[in-house]
Amino acid sequence: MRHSRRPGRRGVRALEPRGPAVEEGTEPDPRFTFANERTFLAWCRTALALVAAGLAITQLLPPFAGTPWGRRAIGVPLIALGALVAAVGYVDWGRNQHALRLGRPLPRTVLPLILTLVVAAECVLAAVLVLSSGRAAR
Amino acid sequence: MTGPERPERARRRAPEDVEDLDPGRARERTHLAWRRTASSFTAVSAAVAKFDPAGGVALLVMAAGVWTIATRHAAWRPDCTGAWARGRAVRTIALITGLTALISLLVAVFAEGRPS
Repeated sequence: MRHSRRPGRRGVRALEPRGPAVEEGTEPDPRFTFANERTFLAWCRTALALVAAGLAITQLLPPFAGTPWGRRAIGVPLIALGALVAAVGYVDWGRNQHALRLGRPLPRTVLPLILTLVVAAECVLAAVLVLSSGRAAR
Repeated sequence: MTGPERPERARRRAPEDVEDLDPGRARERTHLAWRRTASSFTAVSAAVAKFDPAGGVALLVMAAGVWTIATRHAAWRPDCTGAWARGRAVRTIALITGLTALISLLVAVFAEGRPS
């Protein structure tokens, strides 16, 4: 069962799910397709939550005393991480669907690792900013 | 068919095998996930509109597009379970999420923010 109207076209596999590479195999059980889609949507909402947190930090937080760039230093990486999570989430959706079509084990994803590392780094940065601005205010 | 689709539409589209129409509750869960996502888009767009009206209005228009996809295309069409038939909706959402992040990034960098 093929849905592509351009069966001969060769595209970048990750960004072009209509390419021939992902048309291999058979259509999986619809429940798996739906589950894969929900996973993508959950990552999408995670990305939006990161964007919202970054916006709130840069726009609503009072400035750090003595560190005028402090709010942006915390908020902007969160928003950039949101964009990255959306992009990688989309690539993962395509890879998962490809694996489902071929009946292979699902590929590993780097998203939890990226999210953990960036959020941990953000926590350290925020702690440093809070401590240093507290000292400057005194 | 126990989903919240309007009965007259369900009757018009119902295939002979009810399993084709309703693969467990997966379709319904997916539909709810789409609606949650659309709600999130609306919330973030409204937040951006507070800090930057032009960018916020652009995002609200896109959020309306997400609602359209979520309610009409995404979960209910009985013939639309195939992955690549659904791929366009997924690609659109990924793109809109990226644009949302980009506009928010510009707002975060260039808008003044709360004074002390």
